[in-house]
Amino acid sequence: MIFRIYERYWKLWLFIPLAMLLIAVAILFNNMISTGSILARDVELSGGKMIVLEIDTAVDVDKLREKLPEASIHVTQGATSSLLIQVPYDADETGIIEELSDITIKGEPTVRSVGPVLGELFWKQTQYALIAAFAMMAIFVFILFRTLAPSSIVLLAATTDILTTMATLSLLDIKLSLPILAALLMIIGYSVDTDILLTSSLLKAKKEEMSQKLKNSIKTGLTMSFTTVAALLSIIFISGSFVLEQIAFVLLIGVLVDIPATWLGNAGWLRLWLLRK
Amino acid sequence: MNKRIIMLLFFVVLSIVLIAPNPFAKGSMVTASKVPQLSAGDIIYSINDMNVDDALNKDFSGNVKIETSKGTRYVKMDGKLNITVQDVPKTNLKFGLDINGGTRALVKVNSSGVLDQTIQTLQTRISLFGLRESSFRAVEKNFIEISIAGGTKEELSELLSRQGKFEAKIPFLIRLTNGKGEITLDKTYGVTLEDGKARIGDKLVGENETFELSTIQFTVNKISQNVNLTALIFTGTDIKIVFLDPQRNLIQRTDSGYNWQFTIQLSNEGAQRFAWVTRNIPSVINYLESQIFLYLDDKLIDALNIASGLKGKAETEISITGGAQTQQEAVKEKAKIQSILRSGALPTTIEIVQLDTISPNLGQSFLYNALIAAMAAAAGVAAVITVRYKKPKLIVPMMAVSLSEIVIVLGITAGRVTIDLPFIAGIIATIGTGIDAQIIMLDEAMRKAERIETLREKLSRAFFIIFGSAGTVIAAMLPLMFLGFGLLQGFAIVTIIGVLSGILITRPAFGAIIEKIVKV
Repeated sequence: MIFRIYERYWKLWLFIPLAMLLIAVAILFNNMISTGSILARDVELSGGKMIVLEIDTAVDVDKLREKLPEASIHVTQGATSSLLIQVPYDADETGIIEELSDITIKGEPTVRSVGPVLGELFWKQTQYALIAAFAMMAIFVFILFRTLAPSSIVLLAATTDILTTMATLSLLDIKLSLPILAALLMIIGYSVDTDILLTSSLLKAKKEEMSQKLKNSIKTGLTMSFTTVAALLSIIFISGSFVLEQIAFVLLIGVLVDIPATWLGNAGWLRLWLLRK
Repeated sequence: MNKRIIMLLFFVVLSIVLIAPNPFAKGSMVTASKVPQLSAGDIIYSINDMNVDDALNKDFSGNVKIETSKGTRYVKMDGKLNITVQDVPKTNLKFGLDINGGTRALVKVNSSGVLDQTIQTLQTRISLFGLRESSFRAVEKNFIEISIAGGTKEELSELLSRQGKFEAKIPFLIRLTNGKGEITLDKTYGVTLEDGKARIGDKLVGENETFELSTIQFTVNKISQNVNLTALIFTGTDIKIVFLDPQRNLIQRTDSGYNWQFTIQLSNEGAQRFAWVTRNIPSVINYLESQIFLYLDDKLIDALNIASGLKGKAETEISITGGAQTQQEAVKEKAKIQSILRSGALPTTIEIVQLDTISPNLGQSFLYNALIAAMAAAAGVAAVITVRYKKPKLIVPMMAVSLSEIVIVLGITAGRVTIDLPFIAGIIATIGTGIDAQIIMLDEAMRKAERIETLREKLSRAFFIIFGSAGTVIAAMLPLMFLGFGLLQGFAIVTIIGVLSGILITRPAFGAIIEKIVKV
C-alpha cells in the first residue's frame, strides 16, 4: 500500500530531499554570515574549559545555572550519571568545583582546558578533515560506478544527508566537538551505503524489473537503517557518557535524514536518468 | 567445515592469543624502585615467602629474600621496602588516559628546530621529578603532547611552564672617594664619574646599562656618590652536579614550617667569577655585606649570606634553601627545583595550550557504560532482525560474527594502539558496517530470484555492494590518518582495520554460514 503511493508519485517526492537540502544550505549559510563558521564550536574547537563529574544524586540544573551564569551545563543519565560544565578559558575551575559542594561527586573531576589558539588550529584541521573525507569518498564513488550521472546522483544524496544533519545540529543548538566530528565523518562514509545498494541494483535492472528491484533495495536499506536506529537509541538512553551519547545522537540524525535522501531523492533521480536513457 | 569459517576461527584464536598471551600470570611488576637490586619492569613473586602486597606494608630488618623473574635477590633492609608495584598485566591491551585517568598536556614550542631538544629536557625534568609513565609525542612542527599516568595538573603545569633559566647574582657597591674608586677582578680597574655616567676601566656606562669586564657581566643599578653594580656570577650552564645524596639534601622542621636544602656543584669558571667579585665586598662581622641572589626564570628563589671566610675564594659548591608549610610541600618543592636545575634550561620558551586531567573513576565508568550500551545495542539489533526475518536462529551467527570482529580488531591492535575514546568510536563504526553488510548478504541470499541464480552468484552481487560501502568508509577515514595533532587518528586506524578485517575475514565466513542456513 505504502509502496504503491510511493511508486505513483515518485517524481513529486523528489522535492522533499531537494527542499531539505535547500533549507539546510540556507541555515548553514546564515550561520556562516552571522557567526563566521557554519556550526557553533564546542570548547575543544574554540578554546575553553570542560569539567566532567560523575554524580550520584539528581542535580537541580536550573539552580546550577543560576549559580554559574557563564557556564553551559548538561547532565547525562544512564548506567552512571555525569555532569558536564563548560566555561570560558579564563574561568577558574577550582572555584567552580567548590561551588558544587552540595552535590555528591564520585572520585575526582575530569578537567580539560584547550587554549584559544589551539582551538583555532583544531578547527582549521577539522574543516580540512571534513572536506578531504568528502572528496576521497566522492572519488571512490566515481571509481565504483564509472559513470558520471549515477555517481553524481549518489553524491547529491550524500551531500543532502551531511548538510541536513549539520543544519539539524545547528537548530538543536548542538555545538561541534571532536566526537561530533567523528560522527559526521562516519556519516560521510555510511550515507552512501544505502545509495550504493540502490544504485548497483537499479543500474543492472531491466525496465520492467525496476519496480521490484527498488522494492527489494528499500526493504534491505530500511532494515539496515532500523537496526542502526535501534542500536543508537540503546546507546543514547543507556550509556550515560557524553561522548557516546553525542556520537550516537548525530549518527541517529544522519541515519534518519538518509532515508528520504536515498529513497526519495537518489531513487527518483536515478530512475529519471535511467528512463531518459 | 568450510574453509572460510576455518579462517575466521583461526583469526579469532590468533587474536585471543595476541590479546592475552599470559592469562595465568602471577606476581607483581615493579613500577618504581629505590632498592638498587630491583628495577622497574622486574616481576616479584614473593618477599620472605610472603605475598607481595602484604610484605610491602611490613617493616623489615636484616636480610630480605625476594623471588623475582630474574632470580632470588637478597636485600639488606631496615624499615619498609621502598618500591611500588602493580599486578602483572594479564593482557596486552593498552588503555589510555581516557580510561585509566591521568594528566595530558599539549605545549607549543616557541621557536623552530629545537623540538627534539625540548622533548629531551622535559623528559629528564619529568622523570627526575618522579611522575610515573610519561609519554612524549611530537605533533606537527612545534607542538609536544605529554601524557602522564600520575601526577596532578598543578605539578605538571609548574614543571612545563618553567623555562628553567638559572642565574645567581651579587649586587655590590664601589665606594668612591672624591669621585674616584676602583674594582679588582683579575686586575684592578679605576672607576671615575663623568657627566652622571661611570667610567670603569675603559668603559663608559650609565644607569641600567650592562657591560662586561674580565668575562663577567655587570649591570649598573645606580650612580650617585657611589656606583651600585650587580654581577652575574652563575648561570644554568655553570651547574655541574645537583647533589641528591642524603648528606647534601635536608628537610628540617622549623618554627613556622619546614625548610629544605640541597647542594649544587658549579663550574670552575663560575667559581672564579665568585672569587673575583667577592674580593670587592667588605665583610660585616661574620658575613659579607652583600648576599648572593638566586633566580629561576627571573624570579627570586633564594638569597644566601656569604660567610666572610669565602671572600675571594673560588667556591664551587653552594647550598640552596627554601621553606614550605608542610613537610610534603617542602619535599615536592625541593624535588621540583632540583629537577628543573638538573634538566637544564629549555632551548626556548614553551607555552601550555591544552591541559587535561582525566579522572580515573570517570574512565572506568566510561568503559562500563560502553559495555552496557554495547549489550543494549546488540539487543536492539536482534529485535529488529527477528521482526524482519522471523528467524531467531539468524541472530546467533550475526552476533557471533560481530563479536569476532571486535576480537579481531582488538587482537590486531593489541599493544600497538591505545584504547581511548577514539578507539571505541572506531569499534562502533566497525560494528555498524558489519551489521549493514550482514543484512545486505542475508537479503541477497534469501531473495526469490527472478532468474535462476546460484546462491554464490547472489552473494557475489552482495559483495560488490559490501566492497563499495567498505571502500567509501575507508576513503573517508584516510585523510584523518595524516591530519596533524593525531586528532581522531586512533579512530581512523581502528575503523580502517575493522572494515578491512570485515571484508577479508568475517564477511566471507558469514557468507559461508548463510549458505548453510539458507540451504536447509
